[in-house]
Formats: sequence, structure tokens, C-alpha cells
Amino acid sequence: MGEISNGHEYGKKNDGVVKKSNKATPRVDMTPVVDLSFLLLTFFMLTTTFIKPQVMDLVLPEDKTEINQPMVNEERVLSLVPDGNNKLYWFIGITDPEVHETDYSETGIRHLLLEQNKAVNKIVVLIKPNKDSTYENLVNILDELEITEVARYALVDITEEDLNILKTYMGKG
Amino acid sequence: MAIRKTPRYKHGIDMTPMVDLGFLLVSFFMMMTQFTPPDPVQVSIPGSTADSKLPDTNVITVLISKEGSAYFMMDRKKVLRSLGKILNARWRLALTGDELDLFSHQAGFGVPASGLKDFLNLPDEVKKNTVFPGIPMDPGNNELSEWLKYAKAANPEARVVIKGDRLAPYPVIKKVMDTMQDLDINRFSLITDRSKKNKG
Repeated sequence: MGEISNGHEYGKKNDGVVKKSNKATPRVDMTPVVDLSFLLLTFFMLTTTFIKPQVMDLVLPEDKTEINQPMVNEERVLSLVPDGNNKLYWFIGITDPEVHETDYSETGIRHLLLEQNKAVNKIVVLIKPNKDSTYENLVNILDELEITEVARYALVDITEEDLNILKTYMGKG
Repeated sequence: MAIRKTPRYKHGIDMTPMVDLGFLLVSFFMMMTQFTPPDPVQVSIPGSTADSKLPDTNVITVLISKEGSAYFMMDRKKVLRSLGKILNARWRLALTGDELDLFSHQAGFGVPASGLKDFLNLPDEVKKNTVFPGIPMDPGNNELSEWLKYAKAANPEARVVIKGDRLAPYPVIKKVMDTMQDLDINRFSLITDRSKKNKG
């Protein structure tokens, strides 16, 4: 790799043989180093995950027994019942309530919660997931409650009465 | 006679800045990387707008698959080892020291107590590619409860999180939550994915 010439030696003929300078070239070929570093780079780029998972915090009551549960006027109680196939039913109160169906979209549950939150003072939302509902349904509802800033909500078991209310509604519909 | 200078190109570009850059990026990505062990089963987590971050360490994860099986995961190998010792004594598994080592290097568990010894001795390949039945949590035999109880005892700082599949049936989620409530773990987190929300 004797590319560097110094003008004096170059072209001077000595018996027809170009005299080579025997200076050592200071240049190191960096290409393999670059290869290696980019190989490592690719490896680490592929293994890195930047996005830390997000979490939704949930606090459950310490006491599961019903003794400590406050009594609430049923007019203020909105029951949400997620059911199988991403269906969502809601009704207010427990005595012969009118059951409505809604969905998990922005015009569905979010609209409903915003409206009810405005209409009813100190609304209490009870989430009563039916056995066919999924984890996603629950997370969706918790999320919407967070978005619409409903302060009082609880995750409770679905009761016989609730099931009967739903059954009557389905019989009609 | 004038000496004719032949124009000659220097072959080879100076690679040094490129190496600099390359290694700078390598060191950056090396520092960012943390090797997260793969989950025992693949789950597709639901979306939500929640945006608090999961801590890096001290996390106990209960993984719930689409089929409704529960898996137990915990970080911190040291703690995992002491948990292994406790469970070994509790369930009389007769684990050897080597098996305890395997236990502390295991990322997730999804077998009933009776199958734990055999599970630990499986080759890594099999562990990776098999879907295990999950930890039983029936009322009479709630092993998940014991896992959580002793894990919490081994590392009281740990935060319990639920990582459930979108389609995991609610009754299973409820069982897990009830189990936690019975153990006085009333504060926990659900892992969700912010990027899946508000697409429209």
C-alpha cells in the first residue's frame, strides 16, 4: 500500500527498477472494526425495549365483608354489567330499573358516564361483571371511569337480582 | 525532463470517525438494554390510558393467559432462591441445591407443586416451548395464594401486578383478585398498553 509518494524518489530509475520506499504505512484498516461495532450495534438495537409497560393502579377495599359498606340511595347507583361478546348493559337503581344497552366506544360508555355524572349528584358506579365478560371489558370500564373522573366506583359480584333484571330485559328484547 | 506526476487516489476512507460513532451507539444501546426473560405464555395486554410506569425491580407478576391459567413470575434471583427454599420446605419437594439454583434462574412458573421438581429438571428448550398448565387456584387447593404469600414474605417491598390477556375470562381475574385480597394485598396494578388506546 505504498500510495504515498514524496516526489524525490518517485520515477527515479535505477537500472530500470523503481526503488520502493521502505517506510512502514501508519494506516490500520478499520473496516473489520466497523463491521464488528455495527454487528454489536444491531444486536443491542434489536434487544432493547424502550417502552416500559404502563400500569393501572387499583386499590381494593381491605374488608371484603359487606358490613362496612355504606348505604346509598338507589337513585344514585349506576350499575354497569359487562357481558359476553363485548356487550354492556346499564341501569340505575335496583327496583324495576330500565335496562339499556351501550358499548365501549367513546359515544357509548364515556358519553353515558359523563352525562350521568353531571345529572346525578355524587353518583356511585357499581361494576358487576357477568361471568362471560373478559379482562379487557373490566380494564376498559376502569379506564373510562378514570377518564370521566367518576370518583366513587366499586367492583362487586353480580347478584341473583341483577341477573333477573337482565333476564327480564333480554326476554323483552 | 519534467517528472510527470501521476494523479493517484488514496484508496480506503478513514474509518476512525465511523468506529467512534459505532462504538458510541453500541455503548448507548448496551446501557439501555435489560434482558427481560420471556413470559411463560404469550399474552396480548389490553389498552388503557393509564400512564404510570412499572418499576424496574421488585415486581411480582401474575400472568393470566387467554385460557384462564395463572403463572407466577418474580425478579431478583436472590429473593427467588429464598422463596424456593421456603416452598421446598412447605411442600416437601426435596429439592437439591442444584434444583434450587435452577429455581432461582427460572423466569416464570406454571406448574402445580407436585410437578415442580420434574419441571425444574426439564431441558431449557422444552421449558421454553411448552405451555404449562398454570398454577392451581381452586378453593381447596389454592397454590397461587401460597406462592404470593411466601413471595411477599421473601420480599415485602415487592409490588404485585396482574398481566392478563385481553380475552382472559373475568371469573379467573376475580379469583386472582380475591386471592390477593385474602392475603391483604389490596394495592396492585394491572399492566396495560397505552399505545393500543385512542387509535382513532
